[in-house]
Amino acid sequence: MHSRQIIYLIIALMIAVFFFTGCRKEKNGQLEITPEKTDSPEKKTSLFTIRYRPVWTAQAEFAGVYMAQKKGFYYDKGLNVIIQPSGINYPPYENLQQGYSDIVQMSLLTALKRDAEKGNLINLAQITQRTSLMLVGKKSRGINSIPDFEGKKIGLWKTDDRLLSLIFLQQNKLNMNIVDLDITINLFLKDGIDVMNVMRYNEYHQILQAGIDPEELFTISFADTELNIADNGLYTTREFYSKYPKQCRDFAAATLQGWIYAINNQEETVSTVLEVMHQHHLPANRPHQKWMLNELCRDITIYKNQVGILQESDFNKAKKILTDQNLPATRQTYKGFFPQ
Amino acid sequence: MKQRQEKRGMAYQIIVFIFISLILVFAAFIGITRILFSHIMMDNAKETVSHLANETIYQIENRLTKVLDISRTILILYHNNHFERKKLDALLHDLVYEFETLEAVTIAYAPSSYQKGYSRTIFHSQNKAIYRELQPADYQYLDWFQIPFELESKYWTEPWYDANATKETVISYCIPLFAEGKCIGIMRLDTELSALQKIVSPLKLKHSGYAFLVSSIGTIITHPADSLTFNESIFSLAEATNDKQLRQIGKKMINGDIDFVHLQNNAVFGDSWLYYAPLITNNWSLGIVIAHEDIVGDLNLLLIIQTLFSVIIFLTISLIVYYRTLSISRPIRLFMEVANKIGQGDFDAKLPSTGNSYEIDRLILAFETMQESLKEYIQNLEITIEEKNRIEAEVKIASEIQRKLIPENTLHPYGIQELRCYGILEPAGDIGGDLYDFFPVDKSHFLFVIADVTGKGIVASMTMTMVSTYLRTVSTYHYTTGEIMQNLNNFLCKQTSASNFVTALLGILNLKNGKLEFSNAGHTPLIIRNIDNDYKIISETHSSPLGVFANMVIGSAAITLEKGDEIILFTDGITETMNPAEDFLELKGLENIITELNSTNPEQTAVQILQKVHSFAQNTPQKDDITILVIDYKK
Repeated sequence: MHSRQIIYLIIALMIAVFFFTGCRKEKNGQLEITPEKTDSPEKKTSLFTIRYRPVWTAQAEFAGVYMAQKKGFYYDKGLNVIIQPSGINYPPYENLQQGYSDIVQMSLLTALKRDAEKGNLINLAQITQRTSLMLVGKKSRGINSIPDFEGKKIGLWKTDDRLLSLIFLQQNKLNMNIVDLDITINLFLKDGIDVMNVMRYNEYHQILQAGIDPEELFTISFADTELNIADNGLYTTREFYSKYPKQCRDFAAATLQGWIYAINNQEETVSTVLEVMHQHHLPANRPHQKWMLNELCRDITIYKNQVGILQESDFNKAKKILTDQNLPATRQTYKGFFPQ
Repeated sequence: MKQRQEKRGMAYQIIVFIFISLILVFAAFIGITRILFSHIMMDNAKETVSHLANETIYQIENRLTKVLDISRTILILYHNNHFERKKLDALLHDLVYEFETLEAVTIAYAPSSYQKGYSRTIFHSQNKAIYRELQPADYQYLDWFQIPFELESKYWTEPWYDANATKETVISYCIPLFAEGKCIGIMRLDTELSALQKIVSPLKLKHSGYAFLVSSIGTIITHPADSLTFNESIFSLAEATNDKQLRQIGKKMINGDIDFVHLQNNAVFGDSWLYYAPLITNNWSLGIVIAHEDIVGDLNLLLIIQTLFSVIIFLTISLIVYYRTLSISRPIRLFMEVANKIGQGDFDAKLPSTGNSYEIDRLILAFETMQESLKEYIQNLEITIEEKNRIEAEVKIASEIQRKLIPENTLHPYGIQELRCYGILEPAGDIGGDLYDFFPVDKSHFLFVIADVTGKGIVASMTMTMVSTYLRTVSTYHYTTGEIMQNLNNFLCKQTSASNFVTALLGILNLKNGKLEFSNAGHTPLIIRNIDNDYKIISETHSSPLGVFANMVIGSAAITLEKGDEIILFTDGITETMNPAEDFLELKGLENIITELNSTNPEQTAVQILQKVHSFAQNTPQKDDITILVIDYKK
């Protein structure tokens, strides 16, 4: 009698679990972040759909977009923004050019380099005004200064994000054994490499969260060097921009509004980011996302009252860095690249 | 009020004393118990937890070492058969199928080495062998490949989800494959993480104890709170709660340390104890958390029981003492009443018949004895008082008789016109030992004497009476002062004890020519004061005091008085008068008094001297009889 009751209970629980997981899947497929306010159904039908693809998997790096979505800033502008899946398998530039996405997020250097191909990239908003890129080395591996890099193993991302690091090595005439990296920091933690490129807002803090203290690390923050340039921006193609200039500008304005909201409401924003990450079954912890958001807030607000503006000096500096290295670079002018 | 005094009495004091004693004893007892037992309980808890941890670690290690063991077999198979791929794959599948601990086997080559690199994963699913191939781009940057490949050493991965093949969360044991001394690829053996989680998760200790696993970089692998698993690391928890101690513990855990630490009011673990020990095979760490309350709960219960027990003991003892002291104090109260009655003179007041204890019985007995003794004493006292009163009456009569022996002061004694006399005798007690007397021996001779019997009281008084009577008798037959004194001395030597000797100054004045013959037997000097208020001290003595040595020859001296000369006689009661500073008046003091006299007759002289002596004494009690005799000649 007793065991039968338990079996019934288990069956009931299983049904409940299936029911809820089923609901959740359906929800995931359609809408990741539910706006808090929705107006009349008529307005909803007239919404303009924009497919936005972040440069990386869900995290606080895109908090402004999540908050714009959640707080209805896109909706208010008559936009229906679809935040597309992202990650290593979804390169933004290719997705944009192939028409899988309408607006993507990329770093300035990547954008300027890749634009050498078609010359049709438009910067809708410059989100972060300085680079968060760093090189870190373990002092326990004998890395105590830049000259110590010589002959050691350095882990660099296999994407265009390695560009600045490579330029740095070249400028410092450092001959290092480069190991291509994908996403994890474990090779560095396990001493498979001596130096690694990291983002201050992300991998650097992951290293700290793996039990290594800042004092145990030798670090070079590119933001403190002459290689400091603006980083993340929102990009679309000239074709899309010419067709839907208002919607593009509205998207950029709403996203920046989302960022302003995130900067002013960091605890709430972190909670939202964690929700999104959990929806995507990504490992997440609050201190890390809090750290990331805090770092991004600083990177965004470098210039007073200039949030979202791509500085012409940054444009020129990034372009010069590329041409100095004989790398391909956009032929567009500042005004053509950043029409606002 | 009376009731309250009784309570504050014996019962109150004893109960307070017991209360303080019990508090001290039990506080010490409870304190010592707590210190001793908390150590024992900590040791026991540590031992229990470490046993549990070792047992769990043993189970996990058992699974992991099985993987290691299989890896050796597979490596041999690989090296023997890697040219015959189909045969090797079949063998590997059989192994995967055979060993429950083995989820999948993967052989992956680096792009630079073998056929531009590829990997194949062999596993068993839905009753069939599955071989899944991947291109280098799909795996060459994944930890399981890249880390052992770069390190060229064996490597246990962090838990990861194999989305390409088994679709399971696994941990993998990765072995570099070498060809001609060069690392060409990795062999990977997967084992299910859930199997390890199943070993750790069900662990329960007491009410709230649990176990958790931490990976080699601090990631939480299993924890009762699912939300922590894979999301948090021990360091992120430390950061979230700003807990530096926890971060240090995390560092020790991933460093392979063993410890049992107290986490006081920790935001993550609460007030608890954490035991951690490493998994040697893959450098993970197992933590076991047990609430402090669980460890000391039994001890606290014991201490509460002890405290309650102490209170019950105290109350019981207090009640017993209260009622016992009440029963003891009842006869004591009766005693009080009896004592009051006895105090008021009722010596027949009835005592309680028996007490409640040996001591009280003894007290009753002692009280009875005391009552009897008091009764007897009072009776004796009454007799003594009666006797005393009688003696006092008799002494009074003796005193009166003695006073009558002293001649009365008249202006011209016995009608003798040639002289005037005045004497004062102030005895120190009711009856005195001083004497003065004067009387005519014949028509032309006048005898006077002043004497001092040593000692006071009855004996001195009797001696003085004898001297007075004997003098009157003997002076009838003898005319010289020396003879009279010798007779008196012999008489006294016969009649009195040696301790009663007498100093005396005896003189016979020839009324016609003023010739004065006198004998001084150890008495104070004779003073002659003339009309001009000059004075002369005649200290000459003619023998030692009377009544000591029989048959003494006593001489005499003679002087002739002028008209108006005053003979001043006194006893040592004058010169030995003391003032409050205990200074004697002495002869010098008396001389000063005499110098200041302004008297014109013996009475004034005697009275003035006495007044001055009294003013010198300033109410200091008189120790000796004071006697002054003043005689003036033909004034």
